[in-house]
Amino acid sequence: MNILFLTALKAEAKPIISNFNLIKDDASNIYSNENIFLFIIGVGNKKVLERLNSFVLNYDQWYKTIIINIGIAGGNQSQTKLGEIYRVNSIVDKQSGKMYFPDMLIKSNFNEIELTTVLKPISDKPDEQRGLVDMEASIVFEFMSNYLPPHRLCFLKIVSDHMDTSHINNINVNSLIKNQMNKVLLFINEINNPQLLDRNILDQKEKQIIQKITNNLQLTETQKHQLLELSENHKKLFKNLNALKVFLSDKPISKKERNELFNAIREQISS
Amino acid sequence: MQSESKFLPDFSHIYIESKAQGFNLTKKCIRNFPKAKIIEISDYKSIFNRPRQDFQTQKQSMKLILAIKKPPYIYKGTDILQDGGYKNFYYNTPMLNCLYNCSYCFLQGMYSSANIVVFVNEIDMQAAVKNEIVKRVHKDQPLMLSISYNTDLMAFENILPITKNWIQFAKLNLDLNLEIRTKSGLYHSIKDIESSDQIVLAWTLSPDKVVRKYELNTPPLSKRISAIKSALKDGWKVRLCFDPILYYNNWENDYLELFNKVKSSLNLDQVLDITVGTFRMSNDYFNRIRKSKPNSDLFYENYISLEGNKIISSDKQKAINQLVSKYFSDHFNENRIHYWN
Repeated sequence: MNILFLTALKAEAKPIISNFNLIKDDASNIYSNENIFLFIIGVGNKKVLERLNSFVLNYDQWYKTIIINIGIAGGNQSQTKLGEIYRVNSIVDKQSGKMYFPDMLIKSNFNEIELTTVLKPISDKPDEQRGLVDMEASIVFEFMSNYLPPHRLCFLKIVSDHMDTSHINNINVNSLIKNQMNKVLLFINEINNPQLLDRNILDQKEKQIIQKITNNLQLTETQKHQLLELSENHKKLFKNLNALKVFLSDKPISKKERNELFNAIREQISS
Repeated sequence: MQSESKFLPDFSHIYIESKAQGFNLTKKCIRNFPKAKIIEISDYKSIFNRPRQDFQTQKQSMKLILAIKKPPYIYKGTDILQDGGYKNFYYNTPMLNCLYNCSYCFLQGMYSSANIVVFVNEIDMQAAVKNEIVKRVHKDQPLMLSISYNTDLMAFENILPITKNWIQFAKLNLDLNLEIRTKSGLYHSIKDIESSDQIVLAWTLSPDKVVRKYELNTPPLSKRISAIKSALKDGWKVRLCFDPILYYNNWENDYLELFNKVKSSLNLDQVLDITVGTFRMSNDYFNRIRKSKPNSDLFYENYISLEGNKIISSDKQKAINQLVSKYFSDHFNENRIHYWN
């Protein structure tokens, strides 16, 4: 399972980079170490979208990825405690009014709260703003929903202020995140659950066999799709794909021969 | 590797449309789940219809969504639904999705979410039914309404008394008949209501082997049979649904064993009728489920595509129908056995 941390600020990223000994790839700007990844998405709608678009060009392991958007947020004084970490269960985009809901399937020790994503920090009537306020969660949810199911989008926010902007420059972001790292590690342990990932019927070796046959036979898109589906059916019912191995060295010289070979495969592995 | 206990219990979160606040069902729901996190939403579709939801993973921790149903409140029966011989056959959707998780169920292809939606404005749905009763084409017959089509209402009766409410409503509208299809053993939850000829309680029965393998979270056959016994004793009309009868190696032995159990446990003269069906599903739903790579082997077999549906071959269908017909013909004449074809 891969954990992908998304942070808005470098200061939010630093304690995570140091905790997991992440190394930056200068070409993609992705920090990683084995199955832990981190990417800094910046602040402001335009920049966040630009960065996320660049990230997805360099990443393809979505089937086994869980995203944690972690960072600081303003909190309602009566609902939240400074320095405390919260798990977000609903996100409202202040500008569009759209609501987003991460699936809350896994137990955690975090208190849950609602969050509003705003364009600019709240300074006017902060008491009227419920829950937490940040500047990126709704964009992350909307964008990443194209790649991941809602149960693999997690939002953890640490209250840095009670929306009193006069103290905003005195916030020590690094230590706010660092102080919560143990809880974050426990959370990662909780979500490290294969049941949350995509279900795969074929293993890597079997996928390679199918790819080789597809290339050798120069299958059409439809045939490729049919071969994959038939292979999955066969594997589910017979627990293996040995029946395909005899076709590995076949190389047809015409479309007619390709189609005949494909029909032979179909016959062989039909359930 | 982590275990399933890492999942939050069902209904740990209740999402409530702002307009659904204040309704009786909403209040009852909140009372029944005092520890649930309540999240107010503006439209249930913003959570129920999210893209890329994983139905089977959500089934590990289902959430409850309370919403206001908007028209249409009532639908004409479809070809896939058995009409049990009724000419004015309709269904409605007081609830979307089900507590159970049957492998062959079309709901996993119909909805992108496994979360349960309860429509709390029963009064609007009931007004629409009244209107449809007046408009029905075949005035010589009552309007038959299947209220448990996209769910199993009786299974939910311990949580919300929706079945009870609909039965009480039917009793006030004599041209309305209800079919309440279920796999539940919770008959006792409606036991205090006096039986009525307007209501058909339709129990789906399967061999224990099928229950264990394909009907996840449902009660065992013995519980369903004892619920049926009590219902018959109390004078309710009971329909037995062998639907779907699944075709697999040695299916005949398992189903004969089921039929024997039914025959030895129930007084079949008291049973209204039997419906028989085989695996069938619209291509759209089937393909959507198949794409999510479900665990059940049912979705990796070869079916015939006919008129937009995946069905089993006519030979298999015939064999199934013949087995039922042969077994039950002594007790039920042909017009009391309804086959899905």
